Amino acid sequence: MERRTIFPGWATPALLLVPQMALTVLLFLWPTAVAVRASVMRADPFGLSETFAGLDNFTALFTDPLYLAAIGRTLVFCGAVTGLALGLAVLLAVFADADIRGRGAYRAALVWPYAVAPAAAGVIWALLLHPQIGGVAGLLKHLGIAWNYKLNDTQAMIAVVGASAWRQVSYNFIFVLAGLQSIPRTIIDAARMDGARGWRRFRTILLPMLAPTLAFLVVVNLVYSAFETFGTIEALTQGGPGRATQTLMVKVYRDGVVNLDLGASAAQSVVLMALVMGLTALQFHFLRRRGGR
Amino acid sequence: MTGADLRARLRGNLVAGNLVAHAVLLMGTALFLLPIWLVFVGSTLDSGAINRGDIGLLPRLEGLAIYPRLLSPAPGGVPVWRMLALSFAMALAIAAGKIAVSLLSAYAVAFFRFPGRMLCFWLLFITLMLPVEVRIIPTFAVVADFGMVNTFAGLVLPLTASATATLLFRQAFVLVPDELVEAARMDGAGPWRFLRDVLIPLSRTNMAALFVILFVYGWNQYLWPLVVATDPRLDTITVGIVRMIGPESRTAWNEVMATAILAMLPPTLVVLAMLRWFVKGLTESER
Amino acid sequence: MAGLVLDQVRKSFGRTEVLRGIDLDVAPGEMVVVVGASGCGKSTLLRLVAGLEQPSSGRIMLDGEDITARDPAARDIAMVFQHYALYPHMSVFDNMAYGLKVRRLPRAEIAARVEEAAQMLHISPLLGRKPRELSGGQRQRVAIGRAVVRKPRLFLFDEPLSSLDARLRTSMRAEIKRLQRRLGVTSLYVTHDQHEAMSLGDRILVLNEGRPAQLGPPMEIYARPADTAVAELIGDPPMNLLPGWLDANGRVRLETGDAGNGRSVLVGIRPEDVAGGRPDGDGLALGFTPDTVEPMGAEVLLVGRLETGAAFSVRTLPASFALGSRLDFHCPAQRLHLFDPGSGQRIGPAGPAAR
Repeated sequence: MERRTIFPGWATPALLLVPQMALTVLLFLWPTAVAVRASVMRADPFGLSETFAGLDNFTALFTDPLYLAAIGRTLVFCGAVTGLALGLAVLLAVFADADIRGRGAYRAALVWPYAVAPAAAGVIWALLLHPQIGGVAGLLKHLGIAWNYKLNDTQAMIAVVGASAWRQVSYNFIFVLAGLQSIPRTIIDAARMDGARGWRRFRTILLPMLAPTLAFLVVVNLVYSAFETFGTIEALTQGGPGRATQTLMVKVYRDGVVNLDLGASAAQSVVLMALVMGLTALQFHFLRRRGGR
Repeated sequence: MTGADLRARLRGNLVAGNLVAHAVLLMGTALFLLPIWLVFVGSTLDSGAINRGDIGLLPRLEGLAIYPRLLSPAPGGVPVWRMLALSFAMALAIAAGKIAVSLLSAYAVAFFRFPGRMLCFWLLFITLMLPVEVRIIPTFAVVADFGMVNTFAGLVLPLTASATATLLFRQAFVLVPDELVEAARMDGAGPWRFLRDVLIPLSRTNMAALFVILFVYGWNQYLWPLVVATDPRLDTITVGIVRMIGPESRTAWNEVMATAILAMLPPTLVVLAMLRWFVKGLTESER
Repeated sequence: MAGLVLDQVRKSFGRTEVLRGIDLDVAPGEMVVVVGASGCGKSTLLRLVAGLEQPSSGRIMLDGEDITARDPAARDIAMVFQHYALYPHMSVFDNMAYGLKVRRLPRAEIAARVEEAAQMLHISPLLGRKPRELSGGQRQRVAIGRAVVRKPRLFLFDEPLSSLDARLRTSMRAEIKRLQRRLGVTSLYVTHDQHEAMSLGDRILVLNEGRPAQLGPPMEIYARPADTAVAELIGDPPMNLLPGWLDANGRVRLETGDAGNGRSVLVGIRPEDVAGGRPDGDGLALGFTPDTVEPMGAEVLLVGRLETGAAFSVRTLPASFALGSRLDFHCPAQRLHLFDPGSGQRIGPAGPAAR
């Protein structure tokens, strides 16, 4: 939508845009260009000279079994986090939307975890799941489960998935609840008059009307679990044991920051950028559908 | 079935439904509160009890003394106080910086026509796409070129460059009626006066909501501060707390737990204090 | 020349020409109402005078100064908007005072002017309230007050009554007229409502598709519409326009077909100019079959068809009418309006003098 009345001149808007444009060009466009350039160059071991390498870095990446394994691991991790965080959020939101006493308090109790940093969530669960001192770990041992996520690959994955999903439920809850509240009251009433109750009402009426919101949230959750859970994983397992919880993001960090292999990490960065671009395009697609409702 | 029957059955359903709802919501509440509570309880115990795995459900009241102790700037100990202050300053600077920068650029895009306007708009749009985590290594390289590694500016500025807030403001500005702008122009207000006297006052709720979102965003940053600041004096609380649980030899578990609680407290308080605005702002900004 | 002068003002948006050469003289203290169907360019005309848009060509003069290129702020013009356009976060007082504050008037002077205007508009008790706490009528008073305190050289009104309900509209109409007379400020008032135009304007400018169709006092426009567009716009219910011809003897016939050595015309008959019975003298006989009656209170509106098959309406005193049967009506010759069927221009007769 364009507005009819504007202010004349171009000097004022140019001045207004200077800070944003400076930040964008210097700290966004330039780094992106640097990464794209580095991803097609090969540096000698001393970093003294560079030669054009074409797509060699990418070929190397996609023939590296470690990288391919990380892709598979990331898919499993993201799928599990997204499913868990969304499922719980829908369950809680459907009941929080009901007309019950204490609704406001419940909502506050379910919204605040939005403020917990992914890294802090990792720390909390690292403490609770700690094989020696963790309260939850102790409980699991009582139940006869040999709990040590620092040694057991599967347990490690469960721990990072659980902690990552735990942190994300409230974000999803906020959106699903808003989505439920935007469903016109009359449609719910009509469904009640038609005799649809409980699960049936949810499956045939609420879920279809929530679909655009859920599609949008799936993309957001995939982006979250792929990138923002770095802190959670770092606090819990640092990608271990071995590489059992090493997602693509953790791998970029290990290769680029810890091992200083900038060529390989630049190619990895470019792959991640392409991935996010794709996901974001998908997200805008859903947003437009949601907006058009 | 008579009307009275129907009503009775409906009420019966409602009561039964309410019980289930309460049960589910209580479980959800426990799922989020209980872990925090357990860590809080642990923070009040002494290290020996924790090491033995002796953690109950009730805090040891005299153990609460650990909080004032951690918060007082004691030499030698973990500088929790300084890390909290740095996180606070960083979150505040990111939130304020983003709001200021985006407010101005959204104003330019919404209320002026100038050559390259659509180009600027699309440039902002692309920025929206890439979270800082994805471009962490190249960004570090550039920030290093500027000599901003291990500086507060290096910590804050790259996180200030994002377009989410600009788009939110633009959306709000588009809804400002044309007549209001015209009235202001007839009243003799130029662009700067209009911004100060009309637009900013009208955007107060948006700014409040955005502040919460951005403050939490800034406070919760982990990877960028970890990468750009190698000087331990520039450790934020989030970086610091992850570092504290790193070495296995560490025995002061109560300190770790208390620090974890302290690290979560400020953003949680901000969210709870501005709950309604924040929820509205969040769901509308993504639209 | 004092007052507002528009000299061949044109405005195009891209390829669409919205205003195609407007000339207008508004005398000092005069209220000219610009009326026209939506899309005729009347709002654009107002915005050009306000300075919110720049004309593509032509000049705008106010009190002898060329203000064409001036910023709205430098024109000394105040405007009342259709949807009030009050600043939602400011009190009524601050809304009215804002334009004066921007112009750096002394505080005491601002307070005095706002108090005076508030009293004039009966909104003194509301000065501390926010716009959202006011009714529509009160908001419009504040919007008018905001214009009044400026003591401008020119008032612009952009359909200021269109968001009010019918009753309020009538009373505000009278109040605006009284206020404008009292302050004696030159005014340009835009509306699509012919009643508003008739009752408010010292003169009316009828716009049609970006061209001035007619400029004159309300009753003259009613009595001698310059073309069919004006004829249809001014008058309620609208004038009947019927194909016919003017024979060699200067008599009007309602038949279509061959005009012989006469001239083919559009015959305009206002529903209120029709009387019952057959014509005496040179009036025009109308064989009319009504099919519906719309009571209007003091009068009724009969809608139906003429013998020629053309749709027709008659406004007359209530009586019992036999719907579906032919009735005799007539229109006196001096009440007939004749237009050229091609151009739509009035071709005579001179028409009755203002009644």
